[in-house]
Amino acid sequence: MASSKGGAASPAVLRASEMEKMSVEQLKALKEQIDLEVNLLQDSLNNIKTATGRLETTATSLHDLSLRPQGKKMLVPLTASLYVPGTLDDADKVLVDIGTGYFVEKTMNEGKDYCERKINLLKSNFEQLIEVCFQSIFVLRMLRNCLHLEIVAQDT
Amino acid sequence: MGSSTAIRELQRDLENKANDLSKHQKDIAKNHQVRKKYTIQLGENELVLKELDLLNDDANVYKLIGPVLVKQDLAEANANVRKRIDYISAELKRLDGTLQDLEEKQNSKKDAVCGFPFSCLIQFIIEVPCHMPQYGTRGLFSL
Repeated sequence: MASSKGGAASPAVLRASEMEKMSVEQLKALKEQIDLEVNLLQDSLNNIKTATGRLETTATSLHDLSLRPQGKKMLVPLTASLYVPGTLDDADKVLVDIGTGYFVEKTMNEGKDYCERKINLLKSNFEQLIEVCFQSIFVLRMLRNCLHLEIVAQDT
Repeated sequence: MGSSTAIRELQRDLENKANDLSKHQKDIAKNHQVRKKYTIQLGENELVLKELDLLNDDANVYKLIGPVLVKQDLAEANANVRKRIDYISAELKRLDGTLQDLEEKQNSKKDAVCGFPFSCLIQFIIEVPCHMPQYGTRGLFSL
Protein backbone atom coordinates (compact mmCIF):
# COMPACT_ATOMS: atom_id res chain seq x y z
CA MET A 1 0.00 0.00 0.00
CA ALA A 2 2.80 2.37 0.76
CA SER A 3 4.53 1.79 -2.53
CA SER A 4 1.71 3.49 -4.36
CA LYS A 5 2.16 6.70 -2.45
CA GLY A 6 5.37 7.73 -4.15
CA GLY A 7 3.42 8.23 -7.36
CA ALA A 8 3.90 11.98 -7.63
CA ALA A 9 6.16 12.66 -10.57
CA SER A 10 9.46 13.71 -9.09
CA PRO A 11 11.46 16.28 -11.04
CA ALA A 12 14.57 14.71 -9.63
CA VAL A 13 16.31 14.87 -12.98
CA LEU A 14 16.38 18.65 -12.96
CA ARG A 15 19.82 19.93 -13.69
CA ALA A 16 21.47 22.78 -11.91
CA SER A 17 21.78 24.60 -15.22
CA GLU A 18 18.02 24.50 -15.65
CA MET A 19 17.56 25.89 -12.19
CA GLU A 20 19.85 28.79 -12.91
CA LYS A 21 17.56 29.88 -15.71
CA MET A 22 14.53 30.07 -13.43
CA SER A 23 13.27 33.18 -11.74
CA VAL A 24 13.08 33.49 -7.98
CA GLU A 25 9.31 32.95 -8.06
CA GLN A 26 9.63 29.77 -10.09
CA LEU A 27 12.34 28.50 -7.78
CA LYS A 28 10.18 29.23 -4.76
CA ALA A 29 7.19 27.44 -6.26
CA LEU A 30 9.31 24.43 -7.13
CA LYS A 31 10.84 24.40 -3.69
CA GLU A 32 7.40 24.43 -2.10
CA GLN A 33 6.30 21.53 -4.28
CA ILE A 34 9.34 19.45 -3.46
CA ASP A 35 8.99 20.33 0.21
CA LEU A 36 5.51 18.85 0.13
CA GLU A 37 6.80 15.81 -1.70
CA VAL A 38 9.54 15.20 0.83
CA ASN A 39 7.05 15.52 3.68
CA LEU A 40 4.76 13.00 2.02
CA LEU A 41 7.63 10.60 1.47
CA GLN A 42 8.76 10.92 5.07
CA ASP A 43 5.22 10.22 6.26
CA SER A 44 5.14 7.12 4.10
CA LEU A 45 8.50 6.01 5.44
CA ASN A 46 7.24 6.41 9.00
CA ASN A 47 4.13 4.41 8.16
CA ILE A 48 6.23 1.62 6.73
CA LYS A 49 8.43 1.65 9.80
CA THR A 50 5.47 1.30 12.20
CA ALA A 51 3.94 -1.44 10.03
CA THR A 52 7.25 -3.34 10.02
CA GLY A 53 7.47 -2.97 13.77
CA ARG A 54 3.97 -4.40 14.21
CA LEU A 55 4.75 -7.35 11.98
CA GLU A 56 7.97 -7.99 13.87
CA THR A 57 6.15 -8.11 17.21
CA THR A 58 3.60 -10.44 15.61
CA ALA A 59 6.37 -12.72 14.41
CA THR A 60 8.01 -12.86 17.85
CA SER A 61 4.70 -13.57 19.58
CA LEU A 62 3.98 -16.31 17.08
CA HIS A 63 7.36 -17.81 17.81
CA ASP A 64 6.62 -17.49 21.50
CA LEU A 65 3.27 -19.21 21.10
CA SER A 66 4.77 -22.09 19.15
CA LEU A 67 7.06 -22.89 22.07
CA ARG A 68 4.17 -23.41 24.52
CA PRO A 69 2.89 -26.94 25.03
CA GLN A 70 -0.74 -27.86 24.49
CA GLY A 71 -2.93 -27.39 27.58
CA LYS A 72 -0.72 -24.62 28.93
CA LYS A 73 -2.55 -22.31 31.31
CA MET A 74 -2.71 -18.69 30.20
CA LEU A 75 -4.54 -15.40 30.68
CA VAL A 76 -6.51 -14.23 27.70
CA PRO A 77 -7.04 -10.49 27.31
CA LEU A 78 -10.71 -9.61 26.76
CA THR A 79 -10.07 -5.89 27.01
CA ALA A 80 -6.91 -3.95 27.71
CA SER A 81 -7.44 -4.35 31.44
CA LEU A 82 -9.55 -7.52 31.79
CA TYR A 83 -7.96 -10.95 31.53
CA VAL A 84 -9.63 -14.33 31.93
CA PRO A 85 -7.87 -17.65 32.56
CA GLY A 86 -7.75 -20.16 29.75
CA THR A 87 -5.79 -23.10 28.43
CA LEU A 88 -3.93 -23.31 25.17
CA ASP A 89 -5.81 -25.71 22.94
CA ASP A 90 -4.14 -25.70 19.58
CA ALA A 91 -1.08 -23.64 18.83
CA ASP A 92 -0.52 -25.12 15.42
CA LYS A 93 -3.37 -23.36 13.60
CA VAL A 94 -3.42 -19.58 13.36
CA LEU A 95 -5.83 -17.21 11.66
CA VAL A 96 -4.10 -14.55 9.58
CA ASP A 97 -5.68 -11.28 8.55
CA ILE A 98 -4.56 -10.74 4.97
CA GLY A 99 -6.42 -7.45 4.49
CA THR A 100 -9.81 -6.15 3.28
CA GLY A 101 -11.61 -8.37 5.78
CA TYR A 102 -10.23 -11.69 4.59
CA PHE A 103 -8.78 -14.16 7.07
CA VAL A 104 -6.93 -17.34 6.21
CA GLU A 105 -6.31 -20.34 8.41
CA LYS A 106 -2.66 -21.20 8.34
CA THR A 107 -0.35 -23.51 10.21
CA MET A 108 2.16 -22.04 12.59
CA ASN A 109 5.00 -22.30 10.10
CA GLU A 110 2.94 -20.76 7.32
CA GLY A 111 2.00 -17.94 9.65
CA LYS A 112 5.62 -17.25 10.47
CA ASP A 113 6.44 -17.42 6.80
CA TYR A 114 3.67 -14.90 6.08
CA CYS A 115 5.09 -12.43 8.60
CA GLU A 116 8.56 -12.83 7.19
CA ARG A 117 7.36 -12.29 3.64
CA LYS A 118 5.46 -9.15 4.59
CA ILE A 119 8.44 -7.79 6.49
CA ASN A 120 10.70 -8.39 3.50
CA LEU A 121 8.19 -6.72 1.17
CA LEU A 122 7.98 -3.70 3.44
CA LYS A 123 11.75 -3.54 3.73
CA SER A 124 12.21 -3.53 -0.03
CA ASN A 125 9.53 -0.85 -0.35
CA PHE A 126 11.28 1.12 2.36
CA GLU A 127 14.57 0.99 0.49
CA GLN A 128 12.98 2.10 -2.76
CA LEU A 129 11.19 4.93 -1.05
CA ILE A 130 14.25 6.11 0.81
CA GLU A 131 16.12 6.36 -2.46
CA VAL A 132 13.40 8.58 -3.92
CA CYS A 133 13.39 10.58 -0.71
CA PHE A 134 17.15 11.14 -0.88
CA GLN A 135 16.86 12.27 -4.48
CA SER A 136 14.17 14.76 -3.56
CA ILE A 137 16.22 16.06 -0.66
CA PHE A 138 19.21 16.42 -2.96
CA VAL A 139 17.14 18.46 -5.43
CA LEU A 140 15.83 20.51 -2.55
CA ARG A 141 19.36 21.32 -1.46
CA MET A 142 20.30 22.39 -4.97
CA LEU A 143 17.20 24.55 -5.12
CA ARG A 144 18.09 26.21 -1.85
CA ASN A 145 21.57 26.98 -3.13
CA CYS A 146 20.18 28.42 -6.35
CA LEU A 147 17.65 30.52 -4.48
CA HIS A 148 20.32 31.79 -2.16
CA LEU A 149 22.59 32.73 -5.05
CA GLU A 150 19.77 34.52 -6.86
CA ILE A 151 18.84 36.51 -3.81
CA VAL A 152 22.45 37.48 -3.18
CA ALA A 153 22.79 38.47 -6.83
CA GLN A 154 19.66 40.59 -6.56
CA ASP A 155 20.92 42.38 -3.47
CA THR A 156 24.17 43.45 -5.01
CA MET B 1 -18.74 58.68 -13.45
CA GLY B 2 -19.30 56.23 -16.28
CA SER B 3 -15.75 54.97 -15.96
CA SER B 4 -16.02 54.09 -12.25
CA THR B 5 -19.12 51.95 -12.78
CA ALA B 6 -17.37 50.28 -15.69
CA ILE B 7 -14.37 49.55 -13.53
CA ARG B 8 -16.59 48.24 -10.77
CA GLU B 9 -18.26 45.99 -13.27
CA LEU B 10 -14.92 44.74 -14.44
CA GLN B 11 -13.94 44.11 -10.86
CA ARG B 12 -17.06 42.08 -10.28
CA ASP B 13 -16.39 40.15 -13.42
CA LEU B 14 -12.87 39.42 -12.28
CA GLU B 15 -14.12 38.29 -8.89
CA ASN B 16 -16.57 35.93 -10.52
CA LYS B 17 -13.85 34.44 -12.65
CA ALA B 18 -11.52 34.07 -9.68
CA ASN B 19 -14.26 32.35 -7.68
CA ASP B 20 -14.89 30.02 -10.56
CA LEU B 21 -11.23 29.17 -10.71
CA SER B 22 -10.95 28.46 -7.00
CA LYS B 23 -14.04 26.25 -7.22
CA HIS B 24 -12.36 24.26 -9.93
CA GLN B 25 -9.20 23.97 -7.91
CA LYS B 26 -11.22 22.61 -5.01
CA ASP B 27 -12.80 20.06 -7.32
CA ILE B 28 -9.40 18.96 -8.48
CA ALA B 29 -8.14 18.63 -4.92
CA LYS B 30 -11.17 16.50 -4.07
CA ASN B 31 -10.53 14.35 -7.09
CA HIS B 32 -6.95 13.84 -5.95
CA GLN B 33 -8.12 12.77 -2.51
CA VAL B 34 -10.60 10.24 -3.86
CA ARG B 35 -7.97 8.91 -6.21
CA LYS B 36 -5.49 8.50 -3.39
CA LYS B 37 -8.08 6.50 -1.43
CA TYR B 38 -8.76 4.24 -4.39
CA THR B 39 -5.07 3.71 -5.10
CA ILE B 40 -4.51 2.60 -1.53
CA GLN B 41 -7.47 0.22 -1.74
CA LEU B 42 -6.22 -1.15 -5.03
CA GLY B 43 -2.82 -1.84 -3.49
CA GLU B 44 -4.39 -3.63 -0.53
CA ASN B 45 -6.63 -5.72 -2.75
CA GLU B 46 -3.70 -6.70 -4.91
CA LEU B 47 -1.80 -7.84 -1.84
CA VAL B 48 -4.81 -9.93 -0.78
CA LEU B 49 -5.08 -11.46 -4.23
CA LYS B 50 -1.40 -12.35 -4.23
CA GLU B 51 -1.88 -13.99 -0.84
CA LEU B 52 -4.95 -15.91 -1.99
CA ASP B 53 -3.10 -17.15 -5.06
CA LEU B 54 -0.41 -18.61 -2.84
CA LEU B 55 -2.87 -20.75 -0.89
CA ASN B 56 -3.62 -24.41 -1.35
CA ASP B 57 -7.01 -25.32 -2.75
CA ASP B 58 -8.15 -26.80 0.56
CA ALA B 59 -7.24 -23.77 2.65
CA ASN B 60 -9.88 -22.31 4.92
CA VAL B 61 -10.74 -18.73 4.04
CA TYR B 62 -12.94 -16.54 6.20
CA LYS B 63 -14.51 -13.19 5.45
CA LEU B 64 -15.12 -10.69 8.21
CA ILE B 65 -18.70 -9.49 7.90
CA GLY B 66 -19.44 -7.10 10.72
CA PRO B 67 -18.31 -8.85 13.90
CA VAL B 68 -18.47 -12.41 12.57
CA LEU B 69 -16.11 -14.47 10.48
CA VAL B 70 -17.93 -16.29 7.71
CA LYS B 71 -16.30 -19.20 6.01
CA GLN B 72 -15.91 -18.70 2.30
CA ASP B 73 -14.88 -20.73 -0.68
CA LEU B 74 -11.38 -19.93 -1.86
CA ALA B 75 -12.60 -19.66 -5.45
CA GLU B 76 -15.41 -17.36 -4.37
CA ALA B 77 -13.06 -15.14 -2.39
CA ASN B 78 -10.67 -15.05 -5.31
CA ALA B 79 -13.46 -14.03 -7.70
CA ASN B 80 -14.67 -11.36 -5.27
CA VAL B 81 -11.26 -9.79 -4.92
CA ARG B 82 -10.72 -9.87 -8.66
CA LYS B 83 -14.07 -8.20 -9.23
CA ARG B 84 -13.20 -5.53 -6.71
CA ILE B 85 -9.85 -4.87 -8.37
CA ASP B 86 -11.60 -4.54 -11.73
CA TYR B 87 -14.09 -2.13 -10.25
CA ILE B 88 -11.44 0.01 -8.58
CA SER B 89 -9.32 0.08 -11.73
CA ALA B 90 -12.32 1.21 -13.76
CA GLU B 91 -13.09 3.84 -11.17
CA LEU B 92 -9.50 5.07 -11.24
CA LYS B 93 -9.63 5.32 -15.02
CA ARG B 94 -12.85 7.29 -14.81
CA LEU B 95 -11.32 9.63 -12.25
CA ASP B 96 -8.32 10.12 -14.51
CA GLY B 97 -10.66 11.17 -17.29
CA THR B 98 -12.52 13.69 -15.15
CA LEU B 99 -9.25 14.98 -13.75
CA GLN B 100 -7.92 15.67 -17.22
CA ASP B 101 -11.15 17.41 -18.09
CA LEU B 102 -11.02 19.50 -14.94
CA GLU B 103 -7.41 20.44 -15.50
CA GLU B 104 -8.16 21.62 -19.01
CA LYS B 105 -11.01 23.72 -17.72
CA GLN B 106 -8.82 25.07 -14.96
CA ASN B 107 -6.15 26.10 -17.41
CA SER B 108 -8.64 27.97 -19.55
CA LYS B 109 -10.02 29.67 -16.44
CA LYS B 110 -6.52 30.56 -15.34
CA ASP B 111 -5.88 32.15 -18.69
CA ALA B 112 -9.09 34.10 -18.36
CA VAL B 113 -8.10 35.41 -14.94
CA CYS B 114 -4.45 36.04 -15.78
CA GLY B 115 -5.38 37.78 -19.00
CA PHE B 116 -7.86 39.89 -17.11
CA PRO B 117 -5.70 42.54 -15.45
CA PHE B 118 -4.29 43.43 -18.83
CA SER B 119 -7.68 44.01 -20.40
CA CYS B 120 -8.67 45.88 -17.27
CA LEU B 121 -5.56 47.99 -17.60
CA ILE B 122 -6.35 48.78 -21.21
CA GLN B 123 -9.83 49.80 -20.17
CA PHE B 124 -8.30 51.92 -17.47
CA ILE B 125 -5.94 53.55 -19.91
CA ILE B 126 -8.77 54.40 -22.23
CA GLU B 127 -10.88 55.78 -19.42
CA VAL B 128 -8.28 57.53 -17.32
CA PRO B 129 -7.04 60.32 -19.57
CA CYS B 130 -10.38 62.10 -19.46
CA HIS B 131 -10.23 62.25 -15.64
CA MET B 132 -6.56 62.49 -14.93
CA PRO B 133 -4.92 63.96 -17.97
CA GLN B 134 -1.70 64.44 -16.09
CA TYR B 135 -1.02 60.68 -16.23
CA GLY B 136 -1.87 60.00 -19.83
CA THR B 137 -1.24 56.76 -21.58
CA ARG B 138 2.48 56.85 -21.62
CA GLY B 139 2.79 57.45 -17.89
CA LEU B 140 0.68 54.41 -17.10
CA PHE B 141 2.74 52.11 -19.20
CA SER B 142 5.90 53.10 -17.43
CA LEU B 143 4.30 52.45 -14.03
